[in-house]
This record gives sequence, C-alpha cells and structure tokens, in this order.
Amino acid sequence: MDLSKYMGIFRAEAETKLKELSDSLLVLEQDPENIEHINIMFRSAHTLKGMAATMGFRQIVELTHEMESLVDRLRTGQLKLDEPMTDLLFECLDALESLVESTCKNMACKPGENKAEKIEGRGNGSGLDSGIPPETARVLNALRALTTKTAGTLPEEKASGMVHGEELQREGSPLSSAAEEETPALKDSSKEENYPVRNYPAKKPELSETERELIKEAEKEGSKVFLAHVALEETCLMKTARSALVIRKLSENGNIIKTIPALEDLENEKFGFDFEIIFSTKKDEATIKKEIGRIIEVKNLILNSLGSGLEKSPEDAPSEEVEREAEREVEREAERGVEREAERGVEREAERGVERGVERGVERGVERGVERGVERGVEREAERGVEREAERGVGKETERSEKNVFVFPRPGPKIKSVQSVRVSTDQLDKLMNLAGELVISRSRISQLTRDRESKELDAALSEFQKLTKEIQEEVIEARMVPLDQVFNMFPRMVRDLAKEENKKIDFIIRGKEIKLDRTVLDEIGDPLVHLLRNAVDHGIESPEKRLELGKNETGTIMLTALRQENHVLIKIEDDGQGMDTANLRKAAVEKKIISGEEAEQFSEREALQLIFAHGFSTASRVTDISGRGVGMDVVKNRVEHLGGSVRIESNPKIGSRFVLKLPLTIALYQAMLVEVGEEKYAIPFINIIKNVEVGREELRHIRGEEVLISGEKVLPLLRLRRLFQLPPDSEKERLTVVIAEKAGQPIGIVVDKLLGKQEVIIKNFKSRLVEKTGGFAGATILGDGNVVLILDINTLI
Amino acid sequence: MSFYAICHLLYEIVKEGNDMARIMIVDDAEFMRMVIKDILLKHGHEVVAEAARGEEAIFKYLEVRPDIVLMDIIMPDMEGTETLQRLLNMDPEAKVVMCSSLGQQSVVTKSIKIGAQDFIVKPFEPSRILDVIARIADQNN
Repeated sequence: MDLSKYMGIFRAEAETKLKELSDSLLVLEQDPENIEHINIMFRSAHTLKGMAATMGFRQIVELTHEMESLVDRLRTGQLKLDEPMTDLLFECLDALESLVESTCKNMACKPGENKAEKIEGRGNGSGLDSGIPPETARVLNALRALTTKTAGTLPEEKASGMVHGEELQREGSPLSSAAEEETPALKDSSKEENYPVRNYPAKKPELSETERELIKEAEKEGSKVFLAHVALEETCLMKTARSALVIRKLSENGNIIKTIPALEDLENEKFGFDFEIIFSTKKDEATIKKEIGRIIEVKNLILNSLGSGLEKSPEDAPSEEVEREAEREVEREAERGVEREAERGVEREAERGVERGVERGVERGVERGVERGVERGVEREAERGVEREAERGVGKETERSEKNVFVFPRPGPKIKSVQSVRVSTDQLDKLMNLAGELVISRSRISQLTRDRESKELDAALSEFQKLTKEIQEEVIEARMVPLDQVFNMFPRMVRDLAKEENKKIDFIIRGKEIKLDRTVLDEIGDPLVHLLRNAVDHGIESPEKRLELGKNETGTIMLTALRQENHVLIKIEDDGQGMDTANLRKAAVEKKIISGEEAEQFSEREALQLIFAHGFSTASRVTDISGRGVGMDVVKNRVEHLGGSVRIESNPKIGSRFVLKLPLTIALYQAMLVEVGEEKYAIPFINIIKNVEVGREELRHIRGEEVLISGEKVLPLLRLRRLFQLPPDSEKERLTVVIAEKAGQPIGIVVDKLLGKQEVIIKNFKSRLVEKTGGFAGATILGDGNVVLILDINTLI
Repeated sequence: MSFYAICHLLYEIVKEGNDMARIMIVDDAEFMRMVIKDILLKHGHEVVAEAARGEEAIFKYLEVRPDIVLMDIIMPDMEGTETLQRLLNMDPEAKVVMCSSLGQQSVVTKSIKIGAQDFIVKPFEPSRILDVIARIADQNN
C-alpha cells in the first residue's frame, strides 16, 4: 500500500489535532482541573498516535504515547497538572509540530522511497524517522521520567505504567535502535517479568472445595468439564483483552469454573502468553475448538477432559487422552493452513452450500448466478464481478429473511458529492477582477443605451445588473476568511511571551469568527503580532508593580474584532501602564525625529502619533516572533496601505488601546465621487466621517492655516483646488466639505461638488512614477469609461 | 460441464459472496477512515457507511445495517464503549470490531465484555483486519 497518498490528509489532520491539544492546554494552564479539556487532550493525543502508528512514524507515536499516558493520569486523578508539567507538555507539542512538519517534508522529498513504503513493511519504515532531533529526545526523556516517577509512587500502576516506560527504553525504541524489525515500538505487556510458561501437558490444577462442588454439579446436569490450555501468539499486543475474548466465548458456550492464573491476574496482564480455563459445557469438543479457533492471536488450544476421574484419582492423569491430544496438537501445528482450508472448504460446502442455500430459499439468486456464470463461460469463474452480481441477489434475500425484526431497504450505492474544492488565490483574484469588469461593462451599456427608451432593454439591463451584483457578492464572499486563521496563533504567543518576562496575563479574544478578505488578512498578521508584543513588553507591568499600583496582579490584554457596516475594527487593549507622552516627546527629540520646539507645540494626540514615526521604534526591539522586525511605522503603513487607519488611545497607568480600522475587502471600495475643476475623484468611504456645507464665515485662520470649527473641534482644512493648483472657485459662497479621517484625526477636504456614492473597483498603478506620487491609492473606471483617480487621504498632504 | 464442476462453481459463488462483507467504519480521524476503507475496498469488501461520531454511527447503523462495524475506541462525543453498548441494545446481533491504539487495553477489555466481536490494534497489518472480518463473516454463516 502506497502511504504517500495519505500524506496530505495525515498532515492536515495532525495539525488540527495539535491545534486542539494546544488550545486545551492553554485552558488547562488557567484551570488545571478542567476535565472537559483533559479529555480533549487525551482523545487528540490518542487519535494522533493511531494515525502516526499507521503511517509508521515512530517518533510521533512515542511522543504522543507518553503524552497520552501522562494525560490519562491527569484524567484519573493520579496526577495534578502543575507548571513544569504544563511547560513540558507545551514543549512536547512544539516537538510534535516540528516532527510532523519535517516528517511530511521528508516524505514529500523522497517520493521514490515512499512508493515502496508499505503498511506491511512499516517495521522497516522507521528510516523516515532517522535523525532524531535532540529536542524530541529531551522531551521524550522528560516525559518518561515523569511517568516513571509517578508510577513509582503508585504501586498499583506498576504493571502498566513503569514497565511501560522501561519497556520503551529497553527495546525497540527507534531513538536508540531504529532498525529493529518485528519488535513493536510499544507494548502494553511486559515480557521481562518472566511469567511461567504453562507448557502442555499442564500440571493437575489444584481445586478448592467450591470449585470441586461446581464441577460435580455441572456433571450432574450432564455437562462435560474441560481444562482448556490457551496459548496466545507472541506478537499479541493486548493479552488481557484477548484473554477476555476467549473467556467470553467460553462462557457463551458454558460456565467458567476457574482460570489459571486467577481472573484478577489475567485482568492485570500478569501472565505470559498462555493461560488455563476450567469450564463446563454441554457442547462437544469440536464445537468449542471451532469457536475458540475463530479468535485471532490464539496460537493453540488444548482441551483436556476433567471428567469424573477427577473425583476418583486426582493425581492420575488421563494419559491416553493426553497422548491423543498431543498428537492432535502436533498435527495442528503442522497442518494449520490445511486444516483451516478443510474447515472452510468442506464444512462450508456441506453445511452452507446445500443446507443454507436450499433451506433459506436462495436458490433463485444462486441459480441466476450459476446461469450467468455458465453463460459467460466457466473459464471466467474466478472473475469476481459475475459472482458478486449473483451474490447481491442472494444477499438481499437472505438478509431480509434473517432479520425479520428490522427490515431496512438497502440503499443503492451513493456517490458522495464533493463539498469543497481548493481554488488558488490567484484564480480568486482574477475572478474578482473579471466580476469588476463586468460591473463596469454593465454601466457602460446602460449609459450607451440610455436614449433608446426601450422597456425590454431596461428589463434586460436590470436583470444584468442583478446578476453582476450577485456574481460580485459571491466572489467577495469566496475570498472571505475568518479572523481566527490569524488569531489562533496568538494565545500561545502571548502565553510564551508572558512567561518569558514573568508576567501574568489574561488574554481574551473576541469576534474571531468575523470574516475578512484574504488579502487584508494576510497583511495584518505581522502588525497584530507587533502590537500584541508591545502590549506584553511595554504595556503590562510586572505582577509586583501591579500590586504596588493597586491593580490586579494579572494583567489583561483583549483582542476584539467588530464588524461595522463595511469595515472591521480590530482593537488591542491592555490594562497596563499606558504611554507617557512626556517620555515620547523626549525620545523623539533624542532620536532627532522632531525638534525640541516642535515637541513643546505637539498636542497629546500628536505626541502619541510619534510612535508611528519612522525610526522611533527602537531597533533593539526586533521581534523574534514575526522574525521580520516590524516597527510601529510599518504597522501604520501596512494598515493605511489597505485603506484602513490606526487610532491610539492611551492613559498613563490605566492602559492603551489600539484600534485598527480595516476594509472588509480591498478589491471593492465604496467611494464618494467628487468633482474638482473638470476632473472627478473618488474618496474611499472608509475614510469619510461626514459631508457638510459651510459658509465662508465659519472658517478661521490659526497660525496661518485655514481651519474649520465643527462643534468643539478644530479641523485643518484642505482645498483640493489649491492642492491641484487650480484657480480658486471664488464665486461660491458656501463650501462643500468632506470630513475625513486622517491618522485617527478628522480633516476637512474642500471639493467643488459631491457626485454621489459609487462602488469602485480599485486598479493599482502599474507605473512606478504614479505610484511614487503620493495622494492616490489607485484608479478606477467609471461606467462611462472614464478613468477616475482614488484619493488616498493618508498620503494626501 | 460435469455435475461436479457446477457444484464447485456454486460453492465458489457462495463462498465468494459470503466473504464479502458490508462494513461501516467509525473513526473520528478522516485519515484512519481513508486508510481502512482503501484496504477493505481493495480486498473486495463494501464500505457502506462512514461515521466520525458515536451518535452519527448509531444513526447510520440503523439506516444501512452493515454486516460489520469497525469502531474507534475513543471518539469525541461518545466513547466507543458507550456507542457499542447502544448499538447492541438496539441490535443484539450487531457485529462490532473495536479499533484501538496501544495503551488503552482496559477500555478494549471493557468493550469485549460488553459484547464486541473482536478488536484490532493500530497500527494493524491489512491482513489482520481482513482476517478478523473473514472470521466474523464465517461465524455468521
């Protein structure tokens, strides 16, 4: 079996399991006795182990096995989760994560080798695991030490616990000898305890008074009493479970009187590979042998009649019987295959072929099968298709008559429909673009045919419009991804950072289900990492300091996402020390970002903005999380590039809040079309606060700058005519002002005329020259075919 | 064609038909379901249903009535043992084989006592799964 074809699904599912493990561990760190999450961890570890075992990834198996054992102890209350244990489990998850990644990568790199990789040959498959990362070995040993230690203190666990650990190290551990074949990496049983092999012929069992009574009673009722000697195959992995199956089978056919060793020892796997059972039955020897012979992993069964002779002379072994048994046993040993063949062949032919076929009224189906078989030629009798066709007819008949209590129609083969397909993001981008073109093309047609006054044309166009809108919405929806895809890595990151700096932090995430355009999502990961890191580093104080300040010892960082109309707000709030604007001013002056004079003139708000200045973020604080050293200036640029904005609020000693305002999608803008001179421009809606008309008398001049007083606020005013070097429109008495948000602060933009709201599809500039010219985010094409520039408020001045 | 040849053919047909089982796979890992399914299909068995949860398994069992159920011992909503118990309550004739990784022998033993037909331990040889199925099918006849 070619295992490489399962790689993809293995990896995807393994990663999901690791995520579940990590999430639950984070919860448990706060609430160590949360049984629900302990159970999730247990199940996920177990599932992962089973998967890895199937693939033959022994290192993953060993790690998950140790983890499962540890979590099982937590589950049963034998251990309590403490801090070092949590850390160790986190390290274990890290090790597993890198193992999954490297193993999958290795497998992908060596397709030739893996073609030959078979489930059958997985004992040799450990070559894949060669080169054990030291980290893995360390974690594995630490886990084992923990398990061994606890097992040592709990004697009743010795059998399965400590032995377990030792077993792993002693034999077959791929960490020490990967090439060992045929030796299972893990075993539930313990070989080294050297239980006596109860070789046949067995010693006469010692019986208690009660047991003798039971035997006598059974014989009175006409049952026969047997001593069964059962030998399991030495590769048997779960001896207790296997013995339980044997015991159950025997008790289905009679009564168990005694087991050797005692039932309790069988339950605790305190036996070698064989055991004995004394039981009474009314069935004959052959039936019992057949029943037990059906159980896999039973190597051998010897039945000894323990009949009435027992009472008369217990020491006297029924030697004839023994000899005969021995003979049979040897025969069976030698001719096992033949016997089974005979059993299956002859018996079945006799019993089933005739009896069942005739009795249960399947002749019709069989006949049809024979007919068909004959028709198609006897030489093709081995061909399964024919036979199966015949069987289907038979099967239906027999099952209906057999199970007359529930008769359920057997549904025909159903072809499962494909629920989802993978589409490359490039393709989605292209689709989005095409949908956009379609919208433009529709408005063009509508404009070109405006004078026709045809009702049919109008109807067709309105249908066209509806369809294009639907296409567009669908494509946009297809590009949406829940924020969780980025958010899910943060809990662990914050936890690790907090630990590193000895801080106590509650990290709360809200609104992770909110969806954003994939392109936007890709861009905000790094900025969010930086902001969160800052919150841990600079925001939250040490526990001692917090107590001193009368705050709760544990700080809180809250990451919230909110959907507002056509944008998303992402807030990062902490209840830490906040930012001291005096310090910011001082630092900015020291770094020569502003002059001392400017520093004095800056308002509080402006001073806070200083952290976004290029070169302000201290270079020594390069984040090792993102690995890219994103500074606050980059955070701001990224967000603004997406057409969003960053707002800061900070109160010394109370905390800080960063609010990122992001568009849902960057492929489609809601924009306000405005006219300035003879040109039209688009202003993205996300930037606009409101539009106002003001009289000239409402304008003021402060320090030579024109400002607008709106309510209690003083807004700087920007005349687009002046900016584009057009002659001032002196005739107008009242000014049309678009109040927009620039870096979290409102400004007034004076335009000639508002033309209305329009959905525009942004086309990025392909020319470097235009790109470098600040003030424009791109261009769009209107329905009439005209190209309109989109204003970028953040870089306008 | 001699009488014997027809008898033999008849025997072959019955034998082949009975060796093929209609199987339901219950495992919360899609990966495991896929691997097991491929093994079964390759050897002429029919996989009539798959379930990822205990509840789902019970529902589908009643719907398709498989000959044999291969059931993971540890699942999110309901432990395999509980699912087994419920299945047997509804259909005492249900043939359930438990699938487990190492380390959960006590749960496997418990399920044997409840009435599972057999168990297999992951990682399993394909031949092991097929052997178990063949023996159960054999016993049915």
